[in-house]
Amino acid sequence: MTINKLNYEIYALDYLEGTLSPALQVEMDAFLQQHPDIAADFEAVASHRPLAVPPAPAFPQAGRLRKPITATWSRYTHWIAPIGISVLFMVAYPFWFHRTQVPTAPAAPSTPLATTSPSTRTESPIRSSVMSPSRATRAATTPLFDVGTQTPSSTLPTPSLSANGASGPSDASPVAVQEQRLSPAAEAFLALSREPRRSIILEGAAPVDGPIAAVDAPMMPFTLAARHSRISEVAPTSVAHAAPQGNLPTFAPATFAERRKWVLHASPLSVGMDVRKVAAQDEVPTPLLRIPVDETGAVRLGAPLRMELGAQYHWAAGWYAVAGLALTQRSLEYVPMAGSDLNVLALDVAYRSWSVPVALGHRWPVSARGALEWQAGMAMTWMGRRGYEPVLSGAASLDAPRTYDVFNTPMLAGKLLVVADAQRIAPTWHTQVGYTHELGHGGELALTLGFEQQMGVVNRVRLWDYDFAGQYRSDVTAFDMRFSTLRAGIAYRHRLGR
Amino acid sequence: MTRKEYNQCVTLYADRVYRFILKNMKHHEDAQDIVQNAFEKLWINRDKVFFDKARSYLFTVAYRSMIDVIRKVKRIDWVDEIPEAGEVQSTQRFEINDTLELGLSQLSEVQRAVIMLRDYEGYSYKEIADIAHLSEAQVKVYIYRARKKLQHILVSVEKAI
Repeated sequence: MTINKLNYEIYALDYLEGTLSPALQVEMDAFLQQHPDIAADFEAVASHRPLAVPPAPAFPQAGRLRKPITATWSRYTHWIAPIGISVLFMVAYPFWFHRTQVPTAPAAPSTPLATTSPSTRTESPIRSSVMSPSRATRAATTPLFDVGTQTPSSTLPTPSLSANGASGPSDASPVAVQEQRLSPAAEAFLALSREPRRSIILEGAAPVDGPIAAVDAPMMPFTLAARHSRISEVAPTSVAHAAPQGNLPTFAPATFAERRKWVLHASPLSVGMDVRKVAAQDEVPTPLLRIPVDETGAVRLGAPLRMELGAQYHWAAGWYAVAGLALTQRSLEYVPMAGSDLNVLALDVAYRSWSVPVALGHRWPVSARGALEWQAGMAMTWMGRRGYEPVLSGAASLDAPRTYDVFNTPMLAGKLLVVADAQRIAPTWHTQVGYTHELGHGGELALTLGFEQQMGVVNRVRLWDYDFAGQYRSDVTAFDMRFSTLRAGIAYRHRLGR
Repeated sequence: MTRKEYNQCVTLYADRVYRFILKNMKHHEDAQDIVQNAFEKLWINRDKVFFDKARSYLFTVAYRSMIDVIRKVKRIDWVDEIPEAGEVQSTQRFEINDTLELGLSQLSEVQRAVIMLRDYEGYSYKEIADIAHLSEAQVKVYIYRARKKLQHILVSVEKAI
């Protein structure tokens, strides 16, 4: 017997409104037959009519409560700096490097080397955007190495280098040279270079995450970016190195020319759009999207903006150092908590993060077709109210391209994440294959397929619970466990300039 | 919540929150202060409160402010403000709304608030529970008892008339 004299009032309204379950309804009928006094009360309550809504007295100060609608510049001020700098950068760029062009050498047929060499696998926008910052910076460093004569780098050969006897195809090829007069600002900022590399990149990827409940997992990210890099020679000398031969008989020995140089690269503005799904425990994974099964698992749109500046310095014997600065601005919406029967929301509000990666690495070509590389570094990320995350990372990888266009990069990395109260180690394994197809006129189409597996807990995601008392209770829980992700990416890249 | 949505909240809910508080407190100045305070909190927290939750937020803040004021000031004297049944009988101007007012005046604060939220504002039991910080079962019990009491009062007044 569920209903008794102590608790019948709990069921009374449901009984009168007809929302009681059939079993309880039968029970209530029996209970009322046993207690006629209570049955009389029920009849009285059943005859109660809902209170008539009285004429609403107007709140006399409603006009004072309203806020004037004006141009709310304050909502957009945080965009002004990155967008302004980006626009300035893009507008000023042609004037910096192409203000005056004086031919200093007779015109000659352009070589495939200087213009459209397809060995751009290491600059793949997909790799640099999808992977971790350290991975991205590592990827950006690889074009600096002129590996033998079989894998010419499109970024290296210059007339001055050829004059100094650097090995490589550029030594033997006449190259059309144009001396550029740079503005003082350009010289101060980027130093001399003869290989401007600018590109507009359109890329997208469709990651398929493993069975995890990641709050911030971007689904189907899409990015439009404008990037460029410049290479500056610090000392116009080159040193030839010989790769180890004795222990690697199956690889062709390689000599490679290496020069001390700076590489500055910038991605003034990347505008993206991604579709995010909400963390829900009971969602259905599909090949491309995890479809939420209830209304709490809404799919949200995000529009991240990213701005990057970076520099690498290379000196002898394959060593290099990397430093960078990245600003990410993201707007997100609230995330209703799955499974909560209260009005509790986990807010994931717009945030801005600054990230400063620094790393030290070494790359050694074991053959003309591949190189062994390791890198150790640290990236400090400030995320506003979310706090900061220092991430220590180490990675080793082997690039083994089979041809110009197909690349395969296995990588094993380890991260030590330091959060407020704990340190977590998270080994990660990457591999990626891709194909780059030249479309002509500076256009390239890149297809990639990658797999990433993280074998430890990495991210601590803080949620802010909001209650109607106006209080935040922060630091609710930690999410983001081990995961595996399969990513398919497609990118179109268009190079500008020479 | 955008500025425009906030203004929309003022249009939609200011009168309703005011009516709810005024019915419970019978004191215009305090009711106005409470409503103003609720909207001020909404404005301050507009980045954290979403438009579809604004009504609950306003009623919750206003309700709690009202309870604080009632407990602090003890200013309400319902029986004095509402005419006694006997006086009403003599004036012959007793109407149904006045009967309801009389009935409401004899309910406890919580009973009065929950039945008004249910009948005037159309909140569900769960929403009322959230606003009043009660369990859903408590809300149902309060409403049941309030209706029973109201019905008894109405019947007795009708008999007296």
